[in-house]
Amino acid sequence: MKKIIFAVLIVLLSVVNAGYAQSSERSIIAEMPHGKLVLERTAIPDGLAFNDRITLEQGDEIIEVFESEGRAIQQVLHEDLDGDGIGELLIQMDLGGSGGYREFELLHYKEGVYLPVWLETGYAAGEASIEDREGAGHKLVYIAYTDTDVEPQVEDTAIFEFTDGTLKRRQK
Amino acid sequence: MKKQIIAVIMMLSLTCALLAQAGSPFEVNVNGVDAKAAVIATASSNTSDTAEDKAARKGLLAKILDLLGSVASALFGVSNAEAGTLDALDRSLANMQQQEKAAGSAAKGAVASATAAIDKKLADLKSRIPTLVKHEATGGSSATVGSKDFKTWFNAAAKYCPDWNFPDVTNKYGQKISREDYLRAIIWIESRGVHKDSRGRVTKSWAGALGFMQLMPNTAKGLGVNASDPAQNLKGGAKYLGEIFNSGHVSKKSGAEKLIMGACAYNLGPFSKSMKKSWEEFKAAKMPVETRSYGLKMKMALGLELSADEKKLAAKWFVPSHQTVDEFTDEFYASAQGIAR
Repeated sequence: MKKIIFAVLIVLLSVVNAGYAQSSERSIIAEMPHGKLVLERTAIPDGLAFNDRITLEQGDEIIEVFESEGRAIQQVLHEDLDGDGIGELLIQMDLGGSGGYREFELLHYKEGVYLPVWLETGYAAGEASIEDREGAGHKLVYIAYTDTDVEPQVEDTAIFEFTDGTLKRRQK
Repeated sequence: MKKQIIAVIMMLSLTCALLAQAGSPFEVNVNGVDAKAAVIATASSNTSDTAEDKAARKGLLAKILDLLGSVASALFGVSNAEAGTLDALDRSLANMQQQEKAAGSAAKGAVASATAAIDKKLADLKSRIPTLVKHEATGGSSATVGSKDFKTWFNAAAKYCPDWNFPDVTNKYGQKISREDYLRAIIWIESRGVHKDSRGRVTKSWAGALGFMQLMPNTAKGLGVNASDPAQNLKGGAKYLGEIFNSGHVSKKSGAEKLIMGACAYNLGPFSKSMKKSWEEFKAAKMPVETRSYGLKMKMALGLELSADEKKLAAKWFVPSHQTVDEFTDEFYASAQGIAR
């Protein structure tokens, strides 16, 4: 009898716990010689905030690289922009507002750590890509977005170059 | 206190005894008090009364009466000097009461005059409030702020408003801005009060935002509402505003700043790092014009005064060329605040 009650309690606790637990999604961004970059997406229950984060797993050690602070990470690009052979991280986050705007952050890999070097807000419905479209031997950052500052709004692409440790937008 | 009363009684008895020996106290010769010590010695040793003895007893009686006076003063807390002081205080009190009476009528006059000035100012402010728009139903399959069920939907959504950490702000018309006023403002700014058109199509922005409150699909999902349903859409918007006022960067702001930046957060997203900025910084920053306009529109819809600089921005960004900014503002306020009245 006691065993049955105990089993029922365990089942009930599991159900309750599952209901309140934060649902998490885990995906690998890149596997590198110095570790594995992992994205963990977590929606905080009963709210709009996200507790997404990027970590660097080095064996048993987990190093915190980036935390979204309520924003929802939609896209992470891992590409080498400074030519040192190790990729930078470009993160695109959905802000959830009625305007459909996004926030982008670039983390520069330097001397063993990822440092935030660039942050921009806006770029409605923006999607990023990092490519060498011009065949110039170095990659540029492209953000395709809807320009809402003009009437009527138009589709546009912002182009950025990695210079002096940060991203600088090319003039239209 | 008992001891003091006993002492007085004893003193009175002694006085009576001496009076019996010396005659009436009214015959006391104050010149005879000098030989008091000698008289006491004489009185104890010699029972025969000489004229000197009698004078000495009278002097002693006078002293005892003085002493009794002191005891009485000690008992009742009043000395001769204090009595004089009390008289002076009584006179001052009477003077003060007279002065207060005079000042009271002057103060009453000043209060009445100030009240009249405030009433006049209030009447002036009220006369400046634009006549609120009475929204009408648009027919067909539409769902708008004029729909017959709108007030029910609105009131159901407003049940989430008390949870907002909302600041106390009074607008340029002297009216305290309520949470419901804020909800009305968002509905007007977002959708001009149209959830579905006459053909039953849900209002949808180019970005995919839906309905009265222009909820993005992911946001609606997070809020647990169906954005296409008008009642749920309003409810979702009210819950979303709760998130903005109670958590994220805007929750740390106060006053009108919180109301304006709350509107910007509704459009941009409450967790954007840009929301740490003040409204002064934000409106001049490299931010989407739509979001910065949203802050200005919220000021208009709540009846908050726009600065000269803000009026210039409004004219540049969204006020139609055939209207002045003031005309547009009055119309915008009347339409927004006329919702669900």
